[in-house]
Amino acid sequence: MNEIIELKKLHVVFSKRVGLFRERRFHVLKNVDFFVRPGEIIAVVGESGCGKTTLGRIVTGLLKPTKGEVLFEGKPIYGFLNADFANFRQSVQFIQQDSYAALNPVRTIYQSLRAPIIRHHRKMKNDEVDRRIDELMTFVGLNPPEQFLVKYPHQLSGGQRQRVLMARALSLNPKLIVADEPVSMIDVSLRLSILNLMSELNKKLNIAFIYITHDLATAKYIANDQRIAVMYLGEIVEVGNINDILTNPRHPYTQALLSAVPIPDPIVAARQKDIPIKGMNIASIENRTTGCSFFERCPYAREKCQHEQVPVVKSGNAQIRCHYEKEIPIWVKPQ
Amino acid sequence: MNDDILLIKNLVIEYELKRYSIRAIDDVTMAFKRGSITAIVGESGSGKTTLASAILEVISSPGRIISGDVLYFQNAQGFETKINNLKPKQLNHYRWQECSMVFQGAQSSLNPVMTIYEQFYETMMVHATGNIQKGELKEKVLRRAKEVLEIVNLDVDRIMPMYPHELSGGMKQRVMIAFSLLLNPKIIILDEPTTALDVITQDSIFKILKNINRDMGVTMILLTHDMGVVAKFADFVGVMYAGKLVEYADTKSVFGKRLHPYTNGLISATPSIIADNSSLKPIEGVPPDLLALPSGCPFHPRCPQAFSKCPLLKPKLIELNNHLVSCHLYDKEETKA
Repeated sequence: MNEIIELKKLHVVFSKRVGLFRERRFHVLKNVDFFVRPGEIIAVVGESGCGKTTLGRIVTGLLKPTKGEVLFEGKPIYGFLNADFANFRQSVQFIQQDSYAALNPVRTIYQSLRAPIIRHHRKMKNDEVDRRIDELMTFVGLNPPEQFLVKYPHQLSGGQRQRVLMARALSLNPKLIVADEPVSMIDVSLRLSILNLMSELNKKLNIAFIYITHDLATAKYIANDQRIAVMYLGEIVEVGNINDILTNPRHPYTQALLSAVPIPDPIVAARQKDIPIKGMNIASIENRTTGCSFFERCPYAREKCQHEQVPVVKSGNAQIRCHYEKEIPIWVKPQ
Repeated sequence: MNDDILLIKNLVIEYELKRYSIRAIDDVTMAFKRGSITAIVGESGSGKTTLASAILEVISSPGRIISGDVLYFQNAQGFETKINNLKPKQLNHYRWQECSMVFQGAQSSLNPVMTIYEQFYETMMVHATGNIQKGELKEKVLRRAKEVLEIVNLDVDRIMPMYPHELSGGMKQRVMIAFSLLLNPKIIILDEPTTALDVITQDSIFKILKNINRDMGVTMILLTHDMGVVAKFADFVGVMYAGKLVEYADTKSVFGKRLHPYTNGLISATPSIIADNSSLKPIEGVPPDLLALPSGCPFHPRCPQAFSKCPLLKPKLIELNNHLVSCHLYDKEETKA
């Protein structure tokens, strides 16, 4: 296949020294298989601490995996020579959550946008660079560009800064943009317009997106009829078509997550049932067992789940990690 | 008899700066029913937090109440207390014993160098009345801490000697809720209590809060921007825009009728996991700059239904079948009635 990015049997272990000789190890990503095809939007959802941002950093090459392979267009990125690596870096861009922290506060928007272009296109003439910047600003809806280019990040609103980040990510003609919670810090009334901009970029320029979030509702909105990957404690527990998964989730964790999402309709919300989950706290990543990572909180867990490694099984159109896939009851959508 | 526990009357709050002043709360009148959960919805800068700090009389400088009152009714017989006239000692009693608050970002509301027990002790000590012995107070703190921590489903013996950094985000938030209950208040103000928490934790926290409201009859005021949370949790909703109350009614009525175009915009901009999201659309334009508010109705530049009157006249809050709304679209009906 012609995947842009493929992760194979990926493990990430962070270690932290405790005292002189001891080390604490955190298995942040465990046995992750993941791929992105050109032009698709894939949503990655999970609770805080489940490793979704780490996954984003692996995909963009900001973090090296402990074990496993990261393939860019079929070739492992850590075997690349300089020119190929530069090509990878240009093709995969990252949009951070905190747009204020992501822009240099003492540089104008113009300077921030110019830097990556001249870094990668040394021969480009000045007026060409300027034209390119104007084009990008217009594309992301910052019109007229002259009005915004001379400003500093603090003079823009959150939504405008997020648009600048989009423009900066676009400036190198990427094939894939990893967006890490791009709308969580933006006012509700503006969120939708940023999401619409992302799907416009996806459709018009055929850029693939990895949309990292904890908000299933926006994931459904942007990745409509495309794929979703649900993560729990460093594992992808369920992956498949988002419409299928949101109507008929098969993994117990996805079911719990969907039951907890508040629905903006008081009549439906009043009928929402209890969440099928044990315990309120996300389990610690430190003392995980060899078995299923959801074992401690799963209402259907049995002895086998604690120790035996969980295989990936097909369930309908989705792939889930569960020992007792057939015995999980069907989730009923609140209406 | 008086159903209301708290009444905000024609409140105006301004932040005075060197050359100009910003009107953060502009003539807001709002009543809170005893034992209800009222949500105040609005974007950042709409004045939610300023309103809450006016209720607790903790408006940060250079903010100042220009006119209007916050009235508190301790019981149904209705002895009204003007919060902005209280003497320091009375205020000390009112804060936390009558009205407490769960602040936004529990992470930063706890003292990082004190254990949870020490912080409970400190709060109880400051508010203790009369001559109380140290040992007696200690016993009282332990007893009360056990009660409130049990309400929020935390293990008392484990939590008490811990420092805030040893707790997870959800646990800290629950400790903060326990804190707010410590002195048996009648009102709790919740300022975005679950932002930065994931949905499963969020759901469990709202369950706890709902139980507190039901079992102990505590009145709650929830400040949020999440329409999903409002739909699930609140009895009444007040929608704020640019320092004004633009719509107020019970939750079903607000979601059902959506009289104000801004409310309608907010609800239609909220994606849902069960609905078909194709009809969603964002609100055009940007949130208003409080330094240069548009003339007339502050929402008119973004309003899809604006007409000639909107930029000229400020709309008044009018009542239509127990549903308050401030919009020129409904002025006519008022004259008919």
